[in-house]
Amino acid sequence: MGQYSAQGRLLYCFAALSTAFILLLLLLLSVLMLSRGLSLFWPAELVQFRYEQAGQSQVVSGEVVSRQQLSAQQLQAAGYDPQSLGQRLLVKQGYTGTAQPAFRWYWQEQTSEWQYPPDLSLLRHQQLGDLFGVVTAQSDSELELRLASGRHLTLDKADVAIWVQPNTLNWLSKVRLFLVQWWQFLSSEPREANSAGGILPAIIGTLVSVMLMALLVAPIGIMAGIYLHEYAKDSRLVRLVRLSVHNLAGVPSVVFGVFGLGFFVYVLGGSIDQLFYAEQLPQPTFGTPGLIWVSLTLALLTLPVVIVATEEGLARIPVALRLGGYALGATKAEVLRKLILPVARPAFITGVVLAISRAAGEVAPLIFVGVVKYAPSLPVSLEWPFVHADQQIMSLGFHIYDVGLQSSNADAAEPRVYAIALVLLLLIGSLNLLAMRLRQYYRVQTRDTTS
Amino acid sequence: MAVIRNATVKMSAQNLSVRLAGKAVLDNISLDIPANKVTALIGPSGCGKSSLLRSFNRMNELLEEAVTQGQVLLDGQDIYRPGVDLAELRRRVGIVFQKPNPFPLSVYENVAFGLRLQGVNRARQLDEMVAEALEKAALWQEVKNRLHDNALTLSGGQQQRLVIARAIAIEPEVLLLDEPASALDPISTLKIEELIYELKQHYTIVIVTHNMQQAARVSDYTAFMNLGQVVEFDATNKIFTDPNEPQTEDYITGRFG
Amino acid sequence: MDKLNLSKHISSQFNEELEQIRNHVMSMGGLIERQLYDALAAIANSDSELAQRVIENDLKVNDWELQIDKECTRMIAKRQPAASDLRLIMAILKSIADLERIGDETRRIAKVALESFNSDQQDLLVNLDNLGRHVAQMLHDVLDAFARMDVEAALTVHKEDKKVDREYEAITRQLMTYMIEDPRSIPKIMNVLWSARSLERIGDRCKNLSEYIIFFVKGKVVRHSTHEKLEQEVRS
Repeated sequence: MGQYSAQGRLLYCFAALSTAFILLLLLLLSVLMLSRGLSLFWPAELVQFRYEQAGQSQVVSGEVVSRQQLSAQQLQAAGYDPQSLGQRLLVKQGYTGTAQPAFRWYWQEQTSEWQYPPDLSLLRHQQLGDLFGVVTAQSDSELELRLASGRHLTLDKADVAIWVQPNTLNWLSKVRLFLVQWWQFLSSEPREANSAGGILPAIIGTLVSVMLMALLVAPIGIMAGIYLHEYAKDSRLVRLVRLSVHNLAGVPSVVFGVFGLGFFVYVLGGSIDQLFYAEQLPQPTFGTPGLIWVSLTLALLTLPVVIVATEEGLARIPVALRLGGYALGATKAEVLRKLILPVARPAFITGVVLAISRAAGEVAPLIFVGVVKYAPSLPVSLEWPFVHADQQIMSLGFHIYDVGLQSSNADAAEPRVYAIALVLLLLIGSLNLLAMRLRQYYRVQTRDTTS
Repeated sequence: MAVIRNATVKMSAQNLSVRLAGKAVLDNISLDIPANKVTALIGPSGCGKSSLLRSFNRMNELLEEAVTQGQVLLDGQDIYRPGVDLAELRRRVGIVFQKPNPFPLSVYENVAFGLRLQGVNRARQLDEMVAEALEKAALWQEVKNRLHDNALTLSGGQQQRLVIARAIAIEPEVLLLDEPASALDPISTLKIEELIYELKQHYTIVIVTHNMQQAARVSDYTAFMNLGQVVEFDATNKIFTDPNEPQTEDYITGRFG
Repeated sequence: MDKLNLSKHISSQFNEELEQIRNHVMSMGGLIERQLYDALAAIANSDSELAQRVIENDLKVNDWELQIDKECTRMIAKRQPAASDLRLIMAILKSIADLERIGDETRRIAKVALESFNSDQQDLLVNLDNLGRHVAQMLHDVLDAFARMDVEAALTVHKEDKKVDREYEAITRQLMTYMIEDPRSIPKIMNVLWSARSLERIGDRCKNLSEYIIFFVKGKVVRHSTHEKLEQEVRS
């Protein structure tokens, strides 16, 4: 008995600890995403200081992005004097007009004259990116900016998206600025090889491809599920089919990408081109990666999810409900159409939403079949046929990969990665929430009070 | 059978044997169901009474692999002959199960379900027929103001009467009741029994019940079954005061096993 | 005994309750049997003290009847007996009513013993004593049959009633001749006649009891028919 209870306690502790561990990880994930993602758009304090190096002195202005304490060993290994140096700062100084990069490290020990000048402005320029400086003069259409280096720039006001003096902002204006920046992030196109600007095409690309996928996968998956559960006899063949469907879910998604390229794009797309767009050959229309192939590949990828969810939803329907229908002289089709399907609807919706959530985060297979680093135009427009199935698209998942790993400007890209990841998370999260609400809504309608 | 007096035979099982999923549940049964009477099937669990009931409208084959031998006559015609329209048969022989199984629709739509299947679609006609069925099932007074509420919000007893209303809305000739009150409280049970008494003027009723007092109260004839066979079939009055078979006696007086 | 089959219910409480009621009926029967013997003895021996005790003891008989009545009602309410159990309870309910009446008749007989008779009249009492023994035997047999639920024994008792009736008629005729001979003795002879009548009634009630036994065992209501018909019915 004592041993038994000791074992029980051990099991209990282990189970509780595991759960706590998972919770902790989840918490960490959300905290990281939120803090890093959100801080990108929170207006930071601007500093100005004098920096002396090798006898030369210069004025630097910008925001301190991070600080790093280097150990004596590290300093020595890098060939620095560990006595005089130690801490270094990463400063975002923006466009300086010189050859200096937008982000640069400075030794803390070599700085002096730290100031927080209230007239120091942050300007976001369409071509030059972020600029830090003091506006010395302005007219209706232009303004003159003095940079930290002392250079004067004349800028067209139309090119300046944001002009603020962060050090003078109160809390409320900071919030407003934060929201404005978020809105610009979400609603504009990327610039400077994805390292600046917004992510609108990626959001639209993800949404459109996933919706198109849902339109493809929902009828096919649900019908297949209904067939497997309601009509197919429990024979070896059906069991084999069911096993294959379940195994399909385990196939690595990149394999689907290869298949999509080999079959959809080249075979299917090539055939369509030869049949309908022969006059444009050798310029391919559908025989090249594009939106429709992205959606088709995603549909194939998520088919098992929908089929399994459909089958399980149908399996949960009480036998009594079916019998009640048959007892009133309904045929199998009538029972299915009028009783079973309405009750199983939440399961179908769940399946499709699960499929959408899964598809929205996919990256690997899509690179093969139509997702690109930068698409010059959106896949939806006001021109017929509104959705351009042959066009290449951008997607959030791939955008994260591209910004995070392929960007030439790693320091600028890092916070953007978190912000995009946050958007993707929120998108998927809200889809799941929607699924939950729908499920609840239908369950309330069909709840069973007798059990 | 000499047992049935003053009544015609509505349904009749003749040398009926049923195997469900390979297991013999009914063994060469012959039983006549008198028209416009209540016939109770009693017996210990697993004696085959529910299977017998379900073989009267071919519900067995919906549940498991069922093999049926012999005949079941409805008005003299074998319902197991090839080419029988099952939907039509089940319209003529309705069934109500142990656990109330209203559809997750409104009260009104539950009753209208079978009517719509038969092609009754005119709103006026539907309204009348739904009200009539609910009236017959002694439920109208309780639900007339909540016809469009979800049927699952009704109490268990009301749900069961709704299911009966649903079954009688399509005016079957025979009504099979499979332990219709076993999931209900005593008052709801009495209401169901009262309903059965009212309904027997219009329908032939066969009821399976575990509650012997209930069988004694509601039925005109009682068949005691055991191990897939009909041990004794006689007028209820006879069965419950002076059964012929010692097995019946033992079961009725609680000496079984 | 196996016809009774009381002990095989799934509910052992039901068994015990049924057994208890039956035991109470047997106790009541035993008491009445003794009452009858005592009453007859009181007459034969002119034992007024014994007669007095018989009269007092009748209250106990009444108590038994009330108690068993209550037990049967309770049993019906709680257990809803069916088939043979139901018939047993019904048989018991009817039996105790008859037994109680037998008790009343016994009291009436005992009252006769309180009268004083002269030696001539003692002869009358001998006839009465014969009838009394006969009826007492009948009562004994029917109670015995009841204990064993023995249809054959019940049939024998049933048949016996006719003999009792005949004996009663003989006694009546004899007493009438006495009354004609000696009108002054009419009040006392009337008493004797009453007790003979009581004995005849007891015989009738024993017959009833035997019918209840047949009802219980055979499930057939055999009252109000001749013995021949009854026998035919039972044996069919």
